[in-house]
Amino acid sequence: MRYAMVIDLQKCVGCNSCTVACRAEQGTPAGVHFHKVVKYEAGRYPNAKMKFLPMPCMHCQNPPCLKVCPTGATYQCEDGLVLIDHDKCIGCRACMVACPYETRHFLWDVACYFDGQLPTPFEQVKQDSFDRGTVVKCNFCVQRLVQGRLPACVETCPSQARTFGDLDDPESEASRLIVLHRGTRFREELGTEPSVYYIKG
Amino acid sequence: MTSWIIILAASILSIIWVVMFFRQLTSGLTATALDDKFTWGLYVQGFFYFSALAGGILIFIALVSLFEISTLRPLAETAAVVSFACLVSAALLLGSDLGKPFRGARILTGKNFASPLTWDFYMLSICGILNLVFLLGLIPGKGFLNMVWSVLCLIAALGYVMIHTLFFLSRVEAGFRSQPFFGMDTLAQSLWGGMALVNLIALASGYKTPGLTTLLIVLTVLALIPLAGAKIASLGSTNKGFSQIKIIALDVAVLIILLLIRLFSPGNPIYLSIVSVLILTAVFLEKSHLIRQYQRKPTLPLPYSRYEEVPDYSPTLGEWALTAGSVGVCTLLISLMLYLKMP
Repeated sequence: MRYAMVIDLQKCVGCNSCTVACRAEQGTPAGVHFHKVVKYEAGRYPNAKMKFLPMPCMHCQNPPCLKVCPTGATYQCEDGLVLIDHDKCIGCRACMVACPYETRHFLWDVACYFDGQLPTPFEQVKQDSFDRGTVVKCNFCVQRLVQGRLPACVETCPSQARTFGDLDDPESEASRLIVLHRGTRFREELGTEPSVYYIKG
Repeated sequence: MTSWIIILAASILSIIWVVMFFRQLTSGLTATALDDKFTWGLYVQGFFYFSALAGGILIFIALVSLFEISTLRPLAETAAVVSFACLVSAALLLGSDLGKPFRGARILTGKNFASPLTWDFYMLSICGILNLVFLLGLIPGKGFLNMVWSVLCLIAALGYVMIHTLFFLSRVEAGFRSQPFFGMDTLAQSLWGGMALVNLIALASGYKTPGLTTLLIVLTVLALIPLAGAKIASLGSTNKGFSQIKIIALDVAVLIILLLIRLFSPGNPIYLSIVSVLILTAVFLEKSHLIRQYQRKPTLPLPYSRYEEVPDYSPTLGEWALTAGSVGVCTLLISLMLYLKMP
């Protein structure tokens, strides 16, 4: 079993639903986005075009963040997920410096969404697990995966640009799409072997 | 009188360090200018700087002990105080940079030997213990124990100086012979800075070290070679690397000054003090530039990453105060230890 995500860049419209769904599911503090959609302009006026690049944690099979973590707080599961044990994290941020995808975040502070107000009941429940001074990142919604559900960003995508599945199963939709559309991985030349594939379907 | 002024200034700075450290403990690292794009700042620069200086001095002490150079033994004993204080200062700065400083000991139990930080922690701890043993006078000037201590100290000091190279290597598969200038640069800067500090100690304590100017000239050349090599290697790059040119220019200026001192005014304490301070500045600038440069990485795919804004960082007053405070603690420690060492 090896979890992978396939993102169809042709279908992605840059609506940021995935970012919002991720924040709702994980309850990340203000300013922390586990899942960001990088926007950039391709070409020059009058032939300019907006492009979108959704960037969750790549859950690399050869993760540089895992190698540099001195306390073993970053670990890899058998299903390929790269997770963080927050009780072991000392906040040295070596993993952030090592990650070529900038998908890790340091909790400089656990801030509320509404400045000058008390945390909302939602924040009180969700932000309990966030510990200031540690590093956090996307976990492919592992809490949903154990219930047999899909990650929040996959489930919410209105253009169905995302497919989630088992890479070891050649019959899975994810494997099929990667083969069919010659899926590529971001910064593959670094040898990190990301589990997130991009296609142009 | 001068020593009391130094102790007073160091005490004030130490108090500032205590206040700033506890302020940071309560408010977190939000008081710094660091962010998710620029994660390592002045504290880590200071950590690399002080540990490099300590490494250079420890290598000098280990060689003096190994070759049993009795004329330099008193200088080595005084230098050991400074190297220990530098190690303490480096540890304070690293502790200040951690999000959870009280969990720092977990590095020992983490046992991830693929991590440069783990090796760094182990080697620095060994160096600290060996330095303390030497300071306490438990190592005789000659004999088997002296030899074992010297070899161990040499391995540990050279080890962690070279481990500092690993932080800046490729993040996935470094490759056995990748990035040839880093190793030499890290080692040369450490020896250069360490010997400049030893030179200052010798001048302040009145020890006669006739060959030190020549040694500094040799080390300046050694420090310049990897910098010039790296510059030549990056000539085709679109990055202008202006800071790198400034550092090289400073190193060349130091070399010229040292040659002039050697030719026209050998042993002049004022000129030698000035040039030593210049060397210490050059080493700090190099460490600072190395860490800044390493964090400038693009997020977007090519060719768009070419137009991506480079993250900028300028330390806050709080960061400067905490760093200056750790230097104060370091100076206070040196003063106290020298006072206790006096007959």
